[in-house]
Amino acid sequence: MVSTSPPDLSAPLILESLPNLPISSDGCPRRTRMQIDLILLALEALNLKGSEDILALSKQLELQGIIKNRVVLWQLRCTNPLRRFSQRRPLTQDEAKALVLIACQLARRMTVTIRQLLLEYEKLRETQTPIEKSPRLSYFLERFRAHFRARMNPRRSMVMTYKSNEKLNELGLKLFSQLLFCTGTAGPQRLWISLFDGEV
Amino acid sequence: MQRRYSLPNCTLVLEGLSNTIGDLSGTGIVSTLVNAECHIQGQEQPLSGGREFLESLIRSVSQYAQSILSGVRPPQTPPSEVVRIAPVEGHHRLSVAASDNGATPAQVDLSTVVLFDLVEAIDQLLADANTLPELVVPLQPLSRQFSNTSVPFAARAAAPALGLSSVAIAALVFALVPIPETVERPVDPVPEEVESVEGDGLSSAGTGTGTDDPPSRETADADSVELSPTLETTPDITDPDRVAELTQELYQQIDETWEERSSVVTDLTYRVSVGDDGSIIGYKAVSGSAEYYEPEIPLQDLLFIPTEGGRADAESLAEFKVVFRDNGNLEVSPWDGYLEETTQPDSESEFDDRESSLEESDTRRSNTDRSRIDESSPEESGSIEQLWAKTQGFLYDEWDDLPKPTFDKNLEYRVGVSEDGAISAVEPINQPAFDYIDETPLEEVERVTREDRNDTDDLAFFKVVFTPGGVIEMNPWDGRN
Repeated sequence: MVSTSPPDLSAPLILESLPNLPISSDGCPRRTRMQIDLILLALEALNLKGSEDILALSKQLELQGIIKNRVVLWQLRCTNPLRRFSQRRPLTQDEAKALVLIACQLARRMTVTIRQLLLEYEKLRETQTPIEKSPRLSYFLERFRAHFRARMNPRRSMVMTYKSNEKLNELGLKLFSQLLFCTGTAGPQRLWISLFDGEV
Repeated sequence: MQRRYSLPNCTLVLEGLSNTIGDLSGTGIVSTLVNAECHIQGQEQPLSGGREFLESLIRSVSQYAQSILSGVRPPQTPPSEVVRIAPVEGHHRLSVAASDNGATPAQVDLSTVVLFDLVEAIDQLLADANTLPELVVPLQPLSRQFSNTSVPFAARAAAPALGLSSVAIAALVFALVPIPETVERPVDPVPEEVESVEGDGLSSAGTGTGTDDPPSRETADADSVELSPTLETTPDITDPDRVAELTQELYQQIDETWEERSSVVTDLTYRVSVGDDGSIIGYKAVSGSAEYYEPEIPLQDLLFIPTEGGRADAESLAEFKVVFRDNGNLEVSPWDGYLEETTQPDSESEFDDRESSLEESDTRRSNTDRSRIDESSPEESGSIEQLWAKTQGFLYDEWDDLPKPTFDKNLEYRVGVSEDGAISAVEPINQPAFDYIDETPLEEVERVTREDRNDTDDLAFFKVVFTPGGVIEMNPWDGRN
């Protein structure tokens, strides 16, 4: 449904496509905040102008009342506790919803790339060929690793477990698979609900 | 009537009856299912069955897709499910059990892309109001009880490395903190508090005598190992950038290990000494009840303990005020405020409670020439510091996205930052800053935040310096730069 009314800054209509969940008033749980940021990070690895597209989409989806500008976007993403500059602020459900809707829309635009990468990976795995043999997959995984290493706090124990390229590639591929499930008809709903598995 | 939901690798075909009598157009509502077939590419025989099969397929596939997204898996599928999916060697094994309603037993391994096509076919069916409109999949998160058996996205890889958090943290501390070369005193535990230290011991820390000589006084009893000798002889870390970094690191160290937040019912203030490598060398309860609550906070666990025994001596130290708030918030700030020069506190009694120590640091701040938006209250100065840290972090991340810089002189700018962090009023203040502004994220950031800015926003001004070595120095603008 397309809203014709001016954007209501307090609660954009589109947010209603995702249900409110009974979480604590302190905002979204830690895993939720982590996963949202990582999904966006994976999208950025696939899309050269990721953060610009996120902001453009925020306008398009009338979410600019929540994601006002690049700095606010950065702050919201930095509620990921693994971030180097992790922010001490809660992530509200509305903010999380906005990021989820944007991420899924962005993923949808990149459906073809995501599918191709996963098919390529499956082919490599079947023939037990190392990832390096696929220039395209290597390229995107390298971008993912670079983003991850630049943004995440290397002192966090969880981040330390991704020290090797191999482990980070595994994480990247896993996120690419997750992105595929975001591209579908019910992608936003599925992603949204999954963010709270084991948390309610 | 037949309905097809076709995806590249999977087609769902439903045959059913309409309840509209005489509907020959095929466009009516299919309300009764006769047969469902799921054609998967590469499989000769479709998976098929009746209503029970279809509903079970939807439930199982839906739940499985959710577990792919969350990494949390329910312990087991109920035995009554006709269709089950489980991960097998990088594939997703879908099996159909024989059922009374005509489902054909089968087993097929799906790749992730094929599985997604199946999910999508199902979602299109569910979204189709003209086919079995009463079919719904109640998407809901797994309850907390499953979180124990969960495999969060990262833990899979991390499993061997992550034990109980205390173990992990200890390992982290040992792994990251180089063992100081001068481990002078073979005394067992590290000092935890300096209860017995008189005011002059700690307060002299701020002055920094500048000698690198380690303390020579031998102390055999752990209880009397005091912080003060180290502090007396160890120079302060005065570089504001390093202090800011250490502030951030200390915050994160403590924040990630502070578990029992609800048991803290009053604000607890500690004075914490940190070595130049970020390790916590010592701490002291400052507010009255802080000592009593010590078991509830993680400082003890975070203390750097040299593996060879003895105590940690750092080459230089910085001191921080750490406040564990009763609302679960954590505050970390340099003990002397964000200052390069320090003054000596008059007496230990000043640190009896939070208010007085805040006043203390605020007074010191206003003694300097550093200008800030408003010096009227400690809360506001806190927000300036937050704004500062936040803007610096943001600029680092943005800068990181740009190509490697080519300039070889520092680029100096005067930058205005509004309360919500929008950057504006970027002004180069030296020639290289004009010439190389494209190599900084400033212009772009200013451009994209311009339209969101409110002209009436108060701006805090900072001097921002980009160095060829990749460092962003940021200091409050004092009007003289």
